Amino acid sequence: MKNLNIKNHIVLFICLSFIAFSSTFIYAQEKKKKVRVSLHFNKVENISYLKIFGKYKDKKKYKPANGLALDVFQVFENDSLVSLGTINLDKKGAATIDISKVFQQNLPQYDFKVFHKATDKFKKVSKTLTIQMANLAAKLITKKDTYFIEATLTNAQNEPVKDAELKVQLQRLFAPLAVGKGIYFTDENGMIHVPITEKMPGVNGKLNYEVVLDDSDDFGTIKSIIATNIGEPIKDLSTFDQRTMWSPPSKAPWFDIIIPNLLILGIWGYLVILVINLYRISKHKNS
Amino acid sequence: MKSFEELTNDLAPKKFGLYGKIWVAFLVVVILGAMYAYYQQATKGLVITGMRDYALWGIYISNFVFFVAISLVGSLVTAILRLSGVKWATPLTRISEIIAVAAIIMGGLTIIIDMGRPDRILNLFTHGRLQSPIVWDVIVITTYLVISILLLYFPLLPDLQILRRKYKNKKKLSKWYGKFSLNWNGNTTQRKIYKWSIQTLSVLIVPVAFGIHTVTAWLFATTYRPGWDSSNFGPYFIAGAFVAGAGGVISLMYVLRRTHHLKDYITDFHFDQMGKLLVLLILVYLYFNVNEYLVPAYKTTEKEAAHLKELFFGDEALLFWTVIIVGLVIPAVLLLFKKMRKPLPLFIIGLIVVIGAWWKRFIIVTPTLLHPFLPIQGVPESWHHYNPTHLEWLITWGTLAGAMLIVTLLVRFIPIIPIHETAEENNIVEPEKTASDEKS
Repeated sequence: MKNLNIKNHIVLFICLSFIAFSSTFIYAQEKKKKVRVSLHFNKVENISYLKIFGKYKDKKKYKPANGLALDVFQVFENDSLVSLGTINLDKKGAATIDISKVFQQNLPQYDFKVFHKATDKFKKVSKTLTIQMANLAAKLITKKDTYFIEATLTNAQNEPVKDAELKVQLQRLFAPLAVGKGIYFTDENGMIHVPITEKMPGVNGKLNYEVVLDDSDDFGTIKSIIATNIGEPIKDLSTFDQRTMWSPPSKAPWFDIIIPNLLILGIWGYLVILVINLYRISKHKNS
Repeated sequence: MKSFEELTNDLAPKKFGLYGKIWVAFLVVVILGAMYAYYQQATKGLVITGMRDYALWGIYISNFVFFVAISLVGSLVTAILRLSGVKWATPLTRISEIIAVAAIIMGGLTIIIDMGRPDRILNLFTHGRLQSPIVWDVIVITTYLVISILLLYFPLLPDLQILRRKYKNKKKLSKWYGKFSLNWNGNTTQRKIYKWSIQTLSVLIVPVAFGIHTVTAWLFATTYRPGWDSSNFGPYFIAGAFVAGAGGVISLMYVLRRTHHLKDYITDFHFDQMGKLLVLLILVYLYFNVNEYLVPAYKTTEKEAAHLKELFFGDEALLFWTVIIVGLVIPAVLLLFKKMRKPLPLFIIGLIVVIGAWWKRFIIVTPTLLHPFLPIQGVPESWHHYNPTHLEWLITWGTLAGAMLIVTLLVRFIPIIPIHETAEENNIVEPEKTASDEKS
């Protein structure tokens, strides 16, 4: 009977040990995350770059794939790859790579691929993007005392792109401000004409308008910026160097320095005389 | 008519009796309790109080405004009545000066108590902005304190000399009175300096007294907060201060008349006159109250309406209406009757007015802070209300006890009623000083 009890105890000990060790093992082999990668092409004036985002699902919520290392390649017709570099996603799960030099090749379309080899944390992932080259030229013109923004969208063959959706907006500190109805479609000449009816304020009258082809399937995002001088100059309302009631002590208004100090000096002058009078009284005991 | 000796015997300071000693012991115990509570505050911070992000001014600031208010009585009785040639107020001048000095000392101390980091008080002087009403307040309080002390001290000089002679057999006491009397012997030059000084102080204290309470009012009125944003606040505070001060003088003069047997000097006539003065002051203050509450109530802007609703019908309504009706309206009505201007009824009324005045400051300072303008979110529900903690109350009681201890100690060592002035007004001639007196 006693032997049986000991036997039971040994079996129980082995089972518990197995459970404990196996859970530790499971914990150590944490499940690799499946990452979703997205690629976006952007062109602002003559600078072209790829914006890459990565995220993975954890506890039913998407989290940025911070630290995910990605190799970026240009893919050619014969499936040969030319490395454009390696990037790591930041805390927000985003990274940008300048690919302006790629477009000196004058190809009808460009293919890109990003690739991540499997690591301890993330599974293997790759993503490709194909874009065509396009040009967006924008300028400010004047017709009958009215300013217009004129923009032309052409493809790599210099042919106008018809019915493309272009945003026309004014650059502002936090978010761009739509001009007119904001969205315009190119005509058969690939052009838009947008009148500027409102006089907007700008530092020294400077206003930067932008025409944007936003996230097009064929061309990506292309932005053209027009620097103008047609704004209402902003008057500097800062009182930084002025003497005001809200300035630091060294810039208090003169009246706030002179009047209180005169009052203080006047009253404390009398108080000093009165204290001296106490001394005079004590000294005049024999008068 | 009393002789000079009888007058001196009546008005000279008296030793504490049994009740006096118990009273002093009680005050010392309260102060020690407050010091313990302040030690807790100094080590743990203002978190031991009920003040939080919403109600960042509580009973400390109410108490400070009360002290400043009550200190104004020094200018009312001593300066305004003196300059107006009101002779009946002479026995009350010293009492009001003592109250003024005690109150302004404790008022200044209360501000330091309210500071979360009192060790940084020097920063106020080194980095203070002359544009800020807080700096004006510090300047004007210091000035008023010095003027009040001088106004208490100058008229004391002849009395101290009289006491020196009276206690010539008690050498130690006589020596101290002699030292503080600054060799006063009433010669022509000394009298000339003395009169000029008192006259100057009486004139000087009026604008400074008005300044101290106006600036205190501006601490509130220069903000946009409902209940404070008022151009009426300066005169409103001054009118209220005179009411509180007059109530304080009435209460103290009754107590001192009883304890020091001064019926011949502080007579029913004095009570009657102070009663009439108190009615006048309350009516003026009520007039300012009507302005202060009725005009915003008529306009009923959104924020003001929320504040006034809270005062008239909300959580603060009971306190608000008690202060207005019991603390002001009923005393004013009762004091219209001569019987109510007798010493005991007037004392009770004076006491009620003083207590009402303290709570009035609470009503002015705190409720409006519970309506923050900034959208503060995610704070505990308890922060929407302000309830002073026990330690906060203990510290506040300690400051009040401190003021009363200063009054008690001053009353113990200096004459409550000016001996010299009373003798002069009643043509009681001081006997010739002997040669030995002169030598000593």
